[in-house]
Amino acid sequence: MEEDLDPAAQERWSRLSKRLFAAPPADPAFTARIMARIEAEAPRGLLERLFDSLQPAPMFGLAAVAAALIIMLAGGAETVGAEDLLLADAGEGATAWLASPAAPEPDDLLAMALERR
Amino acid sequence: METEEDRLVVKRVLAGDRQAFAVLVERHQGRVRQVCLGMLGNPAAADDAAQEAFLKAYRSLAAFRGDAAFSTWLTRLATNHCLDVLRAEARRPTSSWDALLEADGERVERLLKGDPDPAAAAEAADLAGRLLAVLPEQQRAALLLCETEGLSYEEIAEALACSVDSVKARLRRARRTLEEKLRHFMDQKIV
Repeated sequence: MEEDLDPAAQERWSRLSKRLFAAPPADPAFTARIMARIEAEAPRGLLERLFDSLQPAPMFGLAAVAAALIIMLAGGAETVGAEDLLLADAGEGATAWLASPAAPEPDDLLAMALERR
Repeated sequence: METEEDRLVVKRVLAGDRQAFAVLVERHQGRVRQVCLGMLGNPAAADDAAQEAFLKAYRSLAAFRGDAAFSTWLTRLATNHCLDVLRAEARRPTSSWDALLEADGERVERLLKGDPDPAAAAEAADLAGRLLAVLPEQQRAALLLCETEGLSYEEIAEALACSVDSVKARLRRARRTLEEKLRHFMDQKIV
């Protein structure tokens, strides 16, 4: 690459280039900004949106979420609350239904789903 | 080998592990930021350009064929992004050589002597970028691809869509300009 420079010029250039082309140290904040943009632009699937919206209600746990989805997948007009709400408004509606007094206990939800299957 | 590890990380990202891309950002951001600073001369603009370069890389990761090192692919992408920015803004160098050397002579001297203080590394990179940014943009691009990635004349010609003879001429002029302008500081025993 440097074949068009004489040895003295090559030596001078080598010393100069070491100074001019040294990369700056890595900045964690820079990495964080890039990853935040990537996350913000990422398409969110139904499951991810449901998990995101249920974050403030940890008492329901993954069992309740899984049960609600199983009910949705299994179908059934009697459980129209879970299915319609999850399909129409994955986050808010499901949270509201699960929080309502009418919602079964997580173990019952699972049992209902298995029965339906 | 770092290059081999890059390919594995790329595979993980393409398989759906978005967070794995942070490994590539962490590993290559120094070089990309240096290239962008050298091309644009302005730290804020360089930071924006470096971010956009990484985002472009993420969005077009499936196009990375693996026939060159990931760092080379990324550096080429960053250089071309900066050239697009310069063209779009019809940007000219923000300062002349003489003004820059007059304003920052002591810092240039410290840069060329190699300040061992790690805290000075970021400042040194900033100053180096501003020195390089005074070169005409095509000379800058050729020089950065050569010095940061060690690309051959043919690879630089392909990246910049020009002839090999043009690359040689640009490199020659760029080096000559830098040596002439910095000769005074270099004569003072650069280590």
